[in-house]
Amino acid sequence: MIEVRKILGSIGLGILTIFVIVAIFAPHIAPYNPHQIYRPMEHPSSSHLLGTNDLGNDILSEIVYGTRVSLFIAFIVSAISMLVGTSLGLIAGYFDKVGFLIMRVVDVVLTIPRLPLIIVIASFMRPSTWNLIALFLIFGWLMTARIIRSEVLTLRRRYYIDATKMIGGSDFYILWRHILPNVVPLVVVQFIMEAIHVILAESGLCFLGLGDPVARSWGMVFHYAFECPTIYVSDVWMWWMLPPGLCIVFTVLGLTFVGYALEETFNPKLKSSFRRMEL
Amino acid sequence: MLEVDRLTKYFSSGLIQKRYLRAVDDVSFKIEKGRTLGLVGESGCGKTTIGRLILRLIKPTDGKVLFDGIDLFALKKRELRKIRPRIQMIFQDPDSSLNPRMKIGTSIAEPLKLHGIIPKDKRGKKISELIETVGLNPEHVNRYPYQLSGGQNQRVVLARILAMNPDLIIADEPTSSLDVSVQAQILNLMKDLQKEFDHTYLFISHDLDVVRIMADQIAVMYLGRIVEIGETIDIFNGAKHPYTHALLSAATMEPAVGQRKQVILKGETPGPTDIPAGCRFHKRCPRREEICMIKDPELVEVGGGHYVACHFV
Amino acid sequence: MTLLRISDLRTYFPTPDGIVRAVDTIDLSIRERETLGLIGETGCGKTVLGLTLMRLLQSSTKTEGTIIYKGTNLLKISEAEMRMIRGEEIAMILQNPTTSLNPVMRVGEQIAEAIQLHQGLSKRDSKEKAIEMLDAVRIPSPSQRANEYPHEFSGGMKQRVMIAMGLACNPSLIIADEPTKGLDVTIKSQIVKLLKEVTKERAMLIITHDLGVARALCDRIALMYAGELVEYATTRKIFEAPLHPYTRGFLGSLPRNGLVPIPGMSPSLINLPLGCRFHPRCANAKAICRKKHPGMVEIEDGHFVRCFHA
Repeated sequence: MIEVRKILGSIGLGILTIFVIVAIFAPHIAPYNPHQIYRPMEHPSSSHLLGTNDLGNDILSEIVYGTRVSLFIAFIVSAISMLVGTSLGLIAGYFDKVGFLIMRVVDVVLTIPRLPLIIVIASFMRPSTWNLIALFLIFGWLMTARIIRSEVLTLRRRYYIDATKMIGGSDFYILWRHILPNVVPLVVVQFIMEAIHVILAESGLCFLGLGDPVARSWGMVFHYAFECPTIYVSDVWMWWMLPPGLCIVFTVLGLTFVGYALEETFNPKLKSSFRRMEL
Repeated sequence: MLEVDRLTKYFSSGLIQKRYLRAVDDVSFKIEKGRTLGLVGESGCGKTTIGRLILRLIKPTDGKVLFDGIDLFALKKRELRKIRPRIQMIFQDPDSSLNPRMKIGTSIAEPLKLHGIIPKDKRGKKISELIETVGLNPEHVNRYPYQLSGGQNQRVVLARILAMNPDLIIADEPTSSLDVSVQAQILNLMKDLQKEFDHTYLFISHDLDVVRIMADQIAVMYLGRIVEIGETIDIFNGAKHPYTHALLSAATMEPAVGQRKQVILKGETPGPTDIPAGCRFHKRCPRREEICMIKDPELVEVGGGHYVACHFV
Repeated sequence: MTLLRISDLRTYFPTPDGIVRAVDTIDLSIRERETLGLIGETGCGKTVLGLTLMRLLQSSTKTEGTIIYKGTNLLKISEAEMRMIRGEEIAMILQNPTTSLNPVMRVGEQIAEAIQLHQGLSKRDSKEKAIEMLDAVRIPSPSQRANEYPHEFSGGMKQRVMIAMGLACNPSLIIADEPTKGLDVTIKSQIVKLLKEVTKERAMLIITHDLGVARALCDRIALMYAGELVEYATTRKIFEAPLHPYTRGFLGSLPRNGLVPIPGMSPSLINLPLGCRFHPRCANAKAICRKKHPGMVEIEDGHFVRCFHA
């Protein structure tokens, strides 16, 4: 049987692996130092495969190093959001009184429109990678907390939790040993979704010029390309604008495919087999 | 071993206008060591709540539970933790009684780990012993619950309970979700284990046939109260309460012993929030009269240890 | 008068682990106004049989054989024609009324839906008919309850609603899949009483694992094990003189009969044992049982058994 999910998942994983390798080995892969200045506005040639930008930096090198920045921001925001979100979700789901307070905070913050606020704050901040990360972290954990809490509420009712209480397990033991492992699948899926969101949001902010001008992510490369007045008049956009854009697209695609494939593993009901039919 | 005295549990809902759900109302019974009390009733009668109260998974509104002479509700957290292994429960659904992400060997070992009764190196042996005792294959230790059938999972639950060497086991509909032939296997296993380890059982069920085989004494519950309680033989051969007659004739699709007609009750059990005044059963009772709508009958002794709550005994 | 005759029916599901032979060569017949009980445990294929009769299975399943209903082979007609039959000629009461009723649709509307589709009555007329049906299944204050949602009904009531839906278009055959599962004992006897009345006018196939219910309602009983029938006779014969070891074991494992268990477990429908499918669990298994697969034999008038040693 053709398993579409598995194929897509493998493709996605392949794409992501390529980008991760590029990010890790950037200094060995990039032909030049991205801040090194050569002749500006060069067309693609054998020495500069993607030409140079208006300052004279090699575009290919910029993009290779940009991989580091874009991926770093996405993964670190996701990772910390997951940690915070899951912890709060677990506590909120298991301990009702504290949970009530946590959820009200979540409710309030969720009513604030995310992207406009980020844009507003970013325009007042000094543009830097760490500031962006901090900004995304304000919102990143909210949905995860909600989703995890809701799952915990369901899991609490399972008989094996009662059984563990009867053995004499403490609340924290139950949370750590019995509830957390059952919640991990959701966390992984949330991680991927948050990463996708951050990559796109970060690129959006950079496009508006709010990103870090020194550590240039794909978004910033794209931004500078866009700012160039002659960008559409000639073919310049093909090697300056398109490559970073495609990088963003393919990363998001890779993440989406992996998420899609993982969804089936974590929710066996979606499997197209009759194993669980009532006979 | 277990003495329940005037146990009551009301669940309240609503902040401003409180509505009371009288799940358990003034229930008392005793079980001697090594014996089995069958608690019978339909959904909403409070039998599951009693089980959870005894285990202190929920707090009672009133009443006492004495386990081996110890007042369970007076215990502090630390003392309770020590007592916990001695009272265990088997649940209705074997699939959600085990952590789906834990191998069953690990599940069985968990109580041993938590209480440190048995040193690490001897644990493997103990687990193999337990697995054999409940009739499972030693190779199953490394399987996950979803790979085993309902009956097998219920055996795993039993193995885990045995690991703690309990005195009292509360079985809440342990075989209701299992096939008839598997039910026979599990019930036989439970009986053998009881003989071997001298367990005391509180057997909760809605199936009178099962309770007849498993229990020495039977208590019939309706809407939070015990309406009849006595030795199994007395209940099956000489039940006095109309509700018991209905249950008996429904189970066999024939009239109960000593009755002429099969009793098919009209209507449904009212919810525990609108409990009728007077005798709780009067709305469905074929023998009701004036007094039944006004006065709630008390449990009256009609013979050696046989009590009935009805105005017409 | 034979209403339904099933011959050589097979339903297979191809899965990544192998072919699931849920229904493996079944021969059955139901006469008008007769009640046939199909008894078996989980995993024997009985629900699949019911769904096959109604052609409610997915297209990836393979079905072979013939189902002749009033002269027509149900497996050969088009989907549109089958839709005409469903509900109007043959109605199925599904398992588990809680999940079989649409939670966001009023109960009266759900019953009226069937009536509208088949009998072409106007919305108002079908609504009235729906209220009549609710009354027929003894739901008190039917016109009021028809406007309520499923969650406002108790388990027993929901089951009655399902029965009302089945009866709405006055079918000649009702297939009831576990009609008393999960119901309280006293409610069960009410439903059994209701079903007894229902079957006075029409034929019924009851799929259940509850022997008490089967005994009270059925004229004949067929026992199903691992996808095939192992015994088929009148209700009296099955209970008084069962011939197949599985039937005997099944009856013996009931609490009132001594709670004697059948050792082992039902086989998976993918890896069926060779020879007689019951032999791994049979106390009387001999060499031949391991090698040859027994056929259905008529031991005495109307009593069929699938065993070499009956």
